[in-house]
Amino acid sequence: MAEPLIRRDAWGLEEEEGTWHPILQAYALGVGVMQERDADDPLSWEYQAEVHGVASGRPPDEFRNQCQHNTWFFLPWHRMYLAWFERIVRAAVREHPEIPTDVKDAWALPYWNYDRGDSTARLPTAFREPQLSDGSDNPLFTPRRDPAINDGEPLSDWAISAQLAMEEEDFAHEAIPGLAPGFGGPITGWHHFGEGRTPAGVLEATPHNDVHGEIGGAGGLMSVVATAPLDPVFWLHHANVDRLWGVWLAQLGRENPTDTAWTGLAFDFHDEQGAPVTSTAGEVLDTEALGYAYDEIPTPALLSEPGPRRRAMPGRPLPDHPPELVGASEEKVELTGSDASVAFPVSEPSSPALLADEGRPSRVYLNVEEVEGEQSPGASYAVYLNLPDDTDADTDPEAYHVGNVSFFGIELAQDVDNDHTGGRGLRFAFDITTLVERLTEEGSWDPQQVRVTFTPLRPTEGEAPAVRIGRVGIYYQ
Amino acid sequence: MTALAVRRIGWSHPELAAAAVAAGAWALLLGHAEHPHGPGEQYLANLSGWTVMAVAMMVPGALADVRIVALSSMWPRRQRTIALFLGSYVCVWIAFGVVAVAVAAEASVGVLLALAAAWELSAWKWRAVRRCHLIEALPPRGASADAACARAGLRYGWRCVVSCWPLMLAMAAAGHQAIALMALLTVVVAAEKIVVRSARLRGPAAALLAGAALLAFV
Repeated sequence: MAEPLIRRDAWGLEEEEGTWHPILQAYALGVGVMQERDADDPLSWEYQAEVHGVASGRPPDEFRNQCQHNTWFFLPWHRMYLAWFERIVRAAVREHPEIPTDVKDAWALPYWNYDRGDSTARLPTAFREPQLSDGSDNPLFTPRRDPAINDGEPLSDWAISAQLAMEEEDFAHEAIPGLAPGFGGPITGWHHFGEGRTPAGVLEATPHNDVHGEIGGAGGLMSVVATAPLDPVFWLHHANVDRLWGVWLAQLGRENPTDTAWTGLAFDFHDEQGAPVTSTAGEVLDTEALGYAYDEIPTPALLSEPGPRRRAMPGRPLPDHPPELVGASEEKVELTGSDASVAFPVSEPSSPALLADEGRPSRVYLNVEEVEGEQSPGASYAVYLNLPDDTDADTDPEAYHVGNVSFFGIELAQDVDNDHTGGRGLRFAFDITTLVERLTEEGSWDPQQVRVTFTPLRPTEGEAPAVRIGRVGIYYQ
Repeated sequence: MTALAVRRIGWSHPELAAAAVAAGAWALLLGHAEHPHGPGEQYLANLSGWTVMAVAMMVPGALADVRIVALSSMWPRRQRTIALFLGSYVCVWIAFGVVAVAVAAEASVGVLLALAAAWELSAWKWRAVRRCHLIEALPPRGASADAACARAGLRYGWRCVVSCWPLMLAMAAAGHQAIALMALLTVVVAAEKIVVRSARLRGPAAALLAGAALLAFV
């Protein structure tokens, strides 16, 4: 097997040779070649974006409108998508007369590790410059982003942190109301977007969905499923998500599914010659066999040093009975760019399985259901459980943070013109077991008054598109 | 299988009681088929047969949605939720039957099946199928939960009627003794609701219905 090509961090490249490191310059030129191709050409920029999603009303086929979200296929499908895309770009790079041979030989898709600290949460400069070094238009730049991001403002800390995802022990959980989805997403069949009212996996939710929203803002390319891959930074963002899958696996005890329903389902793509090919999850588990590796897969020390954000209960097996709804909000909650909260009581559990355990749940989940809106407002909202009202300087909001509500794909949630409508609105399910146990120990868990607060991660300029939450509920399992 | 194992299945699948009701409806119809009504049978008898037929044909395709609605409800309300949701749903089909049984009694089954085949190819049909799944989250308890559940069932029923009206007009014309046609159309209706990307079925379903229409003509 040939040596794998190395995918390198875009900020690392910039720190090494400035904005136009040859690898980034080659990416820009390769993207430029693809953008000039006819939209019906499978090797074109537009066609590759349509593999992810087509605009409403455009007829999909077995190659287009295929992206997998809110499902355990999210990670393997996007790995396949990136691997075939990378080969298409590399072919364009290798045919380009202005690119040196050594760069052609070494070129691999860079990734953007926004959570490396310092200024890496800012969009790499090569994506913010309207012109290339020779003064021609920069194919990596698009004005269709949140203006603040193109101005070099950093992404929000809680949008880019993969800590909650790294704490999750299981790759996938059953797709059942209440249950948190697992690291990689809930167990489903083929699942373009909303075929089954399922929440996104923990990594897909944060940082994946949050970063989409923060870059795209309200109405930008990255905020919409059908247009996100038209922004050249989409591919670097997904390369980082792909890398984080490797980081998760590097932790002790983490494993991919072995079920043939996951390893064997085939998806259709085109190779760099434009020939149809198929890939399965089982075929893409070893990235070196695919021809690439990452320059760095750090092993997180989360298992030995639990931080204040640990939410799932480590080492506690998932019960084999379904979660039980014990309380939920009566009224809808509207998010319009400022803080909002809702309070509701929680009842004692009634299901035989929980009664047999004296009503003590092994797991507690917070669900945010039926999140609807005409368009994504962009940035996510942080979700807090029982955040104290007072502004005591000792209050650490992070201690009450359960995750984020994000809006990537909200435009699809009720789109009855495409064949992927499976439930009303977006759904989020957070494992809050340890937080509830801590609040109980502190004497600050009052079942008669559970309060959930939503706070925007980024301030919005002007009026943000309104988003409605149908119900907020607590499930015991 | 132990009693506890059976109970555990019920915990995860509260919709099984509704499945049993649908099975009961099929048993009633199969038994009834041995004693077909004559052409002079009373309208009310036809309507009662229609009601049993609506339960037998429409409940199976709704079971997956019913499971989600029930598991999203408070535990003591799960069966109440199912009863309210499916009760409202079937009421919509009974209301449709009040008109359909009267209107379609003398109509040609073949013509109505051909109409159903054409409807399969329309965009309106598939929008209605997709809208069926847009069930809103219910309040957790009290009268507001009951009312919202009944409303959700009515809405679900209306969208199902928009999706399936020509099929069920054909059944109204054929009568509830036409067990083979009923079984065929039940499979079509359930598959359209349950199968992922079910619009892929539009061609095969239309061909199947067109074939059934031809058979009805000969």
